[in-house]
Amino acid sequence: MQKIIPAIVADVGKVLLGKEHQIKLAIACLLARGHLLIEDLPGMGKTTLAHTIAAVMGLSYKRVQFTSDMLPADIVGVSIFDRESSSFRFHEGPVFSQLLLADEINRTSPKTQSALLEAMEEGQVTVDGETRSLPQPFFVIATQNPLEQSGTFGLPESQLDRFLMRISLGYPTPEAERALYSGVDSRAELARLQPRIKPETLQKMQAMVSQVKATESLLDYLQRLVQHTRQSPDFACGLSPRGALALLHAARAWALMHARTHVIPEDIQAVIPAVAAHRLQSVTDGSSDSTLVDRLLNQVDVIAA
Amino acid sequence: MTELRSLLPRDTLLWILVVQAAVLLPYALTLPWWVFACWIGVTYWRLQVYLGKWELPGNFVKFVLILGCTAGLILTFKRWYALEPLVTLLAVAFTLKNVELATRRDAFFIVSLAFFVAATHLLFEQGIPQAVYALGCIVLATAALLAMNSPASAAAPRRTLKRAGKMLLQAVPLMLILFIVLPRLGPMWSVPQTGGEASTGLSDSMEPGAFGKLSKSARPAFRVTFADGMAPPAPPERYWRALVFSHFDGRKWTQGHRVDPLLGGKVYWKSRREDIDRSGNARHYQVILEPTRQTWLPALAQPESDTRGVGEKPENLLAYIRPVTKRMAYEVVSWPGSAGIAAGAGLSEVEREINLQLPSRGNERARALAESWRKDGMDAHEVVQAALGEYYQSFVYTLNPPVLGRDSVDGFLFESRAGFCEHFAGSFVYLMRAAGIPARVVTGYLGGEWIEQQNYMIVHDFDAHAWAEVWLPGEGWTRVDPTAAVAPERVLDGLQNALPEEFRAEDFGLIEFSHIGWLNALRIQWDMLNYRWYRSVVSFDADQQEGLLTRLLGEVSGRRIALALGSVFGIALVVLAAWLHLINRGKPAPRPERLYRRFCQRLARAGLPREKGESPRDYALRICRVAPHWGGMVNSITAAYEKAAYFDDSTAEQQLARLLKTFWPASRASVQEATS
Repeated sequence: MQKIIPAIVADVGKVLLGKEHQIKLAIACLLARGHLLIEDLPGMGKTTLAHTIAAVMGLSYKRVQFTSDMLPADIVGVSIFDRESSSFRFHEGPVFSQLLLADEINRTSPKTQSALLEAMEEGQVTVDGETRSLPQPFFVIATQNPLEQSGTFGLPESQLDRFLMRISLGYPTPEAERALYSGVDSRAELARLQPRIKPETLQKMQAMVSQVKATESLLDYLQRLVQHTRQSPDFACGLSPRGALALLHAARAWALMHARTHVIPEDIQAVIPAVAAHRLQSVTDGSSDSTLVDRLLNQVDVIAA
Repeated sequence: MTELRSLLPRDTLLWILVVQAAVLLPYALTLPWWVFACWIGVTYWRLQVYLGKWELPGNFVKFVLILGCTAGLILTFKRWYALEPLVTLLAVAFTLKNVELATRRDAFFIVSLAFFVAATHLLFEQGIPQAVYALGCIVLATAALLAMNSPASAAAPRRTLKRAGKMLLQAVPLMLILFIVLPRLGPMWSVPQTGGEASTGLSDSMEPGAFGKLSKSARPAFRVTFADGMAPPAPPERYWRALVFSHFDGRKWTQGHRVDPLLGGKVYWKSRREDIDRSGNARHYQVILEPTRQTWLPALAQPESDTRGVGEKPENLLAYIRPVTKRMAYEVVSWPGSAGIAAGAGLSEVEREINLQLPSRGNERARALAESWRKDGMDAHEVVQAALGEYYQSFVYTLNPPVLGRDSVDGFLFESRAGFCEHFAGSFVYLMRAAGIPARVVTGYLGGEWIEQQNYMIVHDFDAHAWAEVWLPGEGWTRVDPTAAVAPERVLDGLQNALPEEFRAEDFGLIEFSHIGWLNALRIQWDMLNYRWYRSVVSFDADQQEGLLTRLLGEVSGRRIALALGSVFGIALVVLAAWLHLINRGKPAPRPERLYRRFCQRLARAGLPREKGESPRDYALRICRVAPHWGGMVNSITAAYEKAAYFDDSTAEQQLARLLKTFWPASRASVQEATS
């Protein structure tokens, strides 16, 4: 356990250069049984990240490129009449996989978006009155283009809430980019990767996240943070109880990844930009979500008064 | 500005109209009726606009309204320079503003004006009910301001009023300080009141029946406080002199020729002191007089006063420089003297002539009686005794004497033989003059209710009285009260006990029931409250202010006042801060947190404070970077704290405490030394 996670992070890092923190966040998200939203410009390595994680974790991987003319059936699957058996046979859609990369989710219509998000929430889909369970573990990495780009349907707040974390990869560091130019072939690297763990191990690790303990002192800090978002005039609306629970769970996953049995404030501080930024809204449109979270962290005392 | 120009929120309008109604209500009886007709019309129009039925009036309508109101003002008031017309003008302007009440700016204007109009109530009267009402108006107007600024509160009147009340309560300390410290300017205007109200209290002439009306009023006339430790005069000595009448026209007593009653008699302002015989123990007291619209000021015999505007008249009376239209207070020193009034000064020929004046004809029988005394060779003392003996034998004291004919003195002395104080005093002086003894009628008050709890005396209108003064050679003006010969209990116990049946039959309000214990107590309480109010609030003028400040600060200087104010504000702020701290404290932090905080404080003193959002590990890292020589200690303390706080490790808490005992970082200088 103590060795597996650094090894996984290192493996993914071989393909996606210089993005260790984002990789760790993505894996924490996976361990916390959450879904991940990556918001970035095209060509920043979103797909690569998803593909590499699937390969290292040994998960079955499917990718859906969302377009504006897509229908829910294109995701969930469709029943087709089979002449031989004289009955309808269900053809599973791409959602029936362990790791689904929903590429450019905000390119498609809200109708199709909600079909996917429902599947994410329930862990099952219902077609023609028949409920089918999705494979376990089930992990969705959705990517979206920044909203200012044309032809996008922004996800509403209620659906953003379905994602445990939202991260952006950003441009690589100069060294990483130089290494990229000088011939590290990420595709070949990807092909060479072997799964480090089995899906069953992953599920066991997911179960261990819930066992990470949080003391009163830590919960106090969490509560102070949440309370601040609700009382400070900077925020249009505070963090919901679900958001607060998500934050705690992500912090647990982060603590587990760092081989701790207890959560410490640094865990919360590490995951809060990814967990809380997309759930908070600024009163003034001027400041971006991430500076908002920075301000939140600066204003709330870590130590109880 | 754009915000002020924006339209008025709907609910606020009702607030403004309520405030207007409340502020104008006390004027309902005093201002001309058309002002209210105008207010109702304009308000109706505005309400129709509110309901969306009408439009706001155009310029033509406004012009007509202004023209109409101006005409009304001109027709109603002949004199312009007076309080009523000016207040009416204000009320009209305040009212007419309603027709152009559209924006928030207009609303602010009206509410600000409402504060001012509410304050003008106090120009007319400054009693407790008026003050309470004005305060209510101010709460209402403040609530209206609140409602204008937050649409949510416009719809929740009770909460808004509560909030306004709270805000004003918070302003009370400031108000008190301003009340005490702000320089008292004299009234910046002295606008006469034109009100046609009759003067109250004693009138400046006396004829039969004059006291009948007064004796039926239980209104307080004035209140007296005696200087510290000084006992009030005994009941038979409570003769409060107000006016002296020396001219008789056969029916009516007036202040004497050469005296212009409009000016309140000839007044010698602080010049002729020689009349006063300053022997014996002077009595120092303060009189608080209810408005009389006259200039006389009641006082005991031989008074002097240093109060500004108070002068002394030759008859040993006090007078004010202008009619008393508001409650006023004045200080008096009265000398008992060794004999009667002005004994030392003697009686000039002119004065003798004035005080022997009688009409040439009429009241022949009385004249004959007096002359018979003189023929008998009686001296002045004997004549006085003879006259009093007449009264004592066969006269009746009553509040309801029969009506007298043309020769009122004869009618009283020889026919009805029943009368009230003015009959006795008037006929007595007539007899004395006819007998050749200079005499004059004195009116004023006799008696006073001593309120033990508060050490003051209240004198009512029904204590009004008339008596006589005769000039006795060598003794000066000597008081003779013929009423005392008939009804000695009037002097000793007051009118209530002298004429219990008649007294009770009149409309006296509460005092009528003074035999009912608790009601009497209630009445006295209310009077005491009024008295306190006046003494401490209304009469707080420049002199009193200086006295109070001197008592509080030792001396009155700008620096002392600033110092005192500063310390008062400072203490108030400290108390407030302490209170806020107490209510925000919540439950105390657990022990590891407290210990860690101490650690942070020590490092802060050494120049390395922890940022608010900085986590223990980040802080430790930063310190290791800046001050590596503390690194080991800081790391172990941080680790111990982390274990204690976040890993539920109970042994770590002791370890943390132990480590903390040995960790005493030095000052910033040593940090710099260490890093350089």
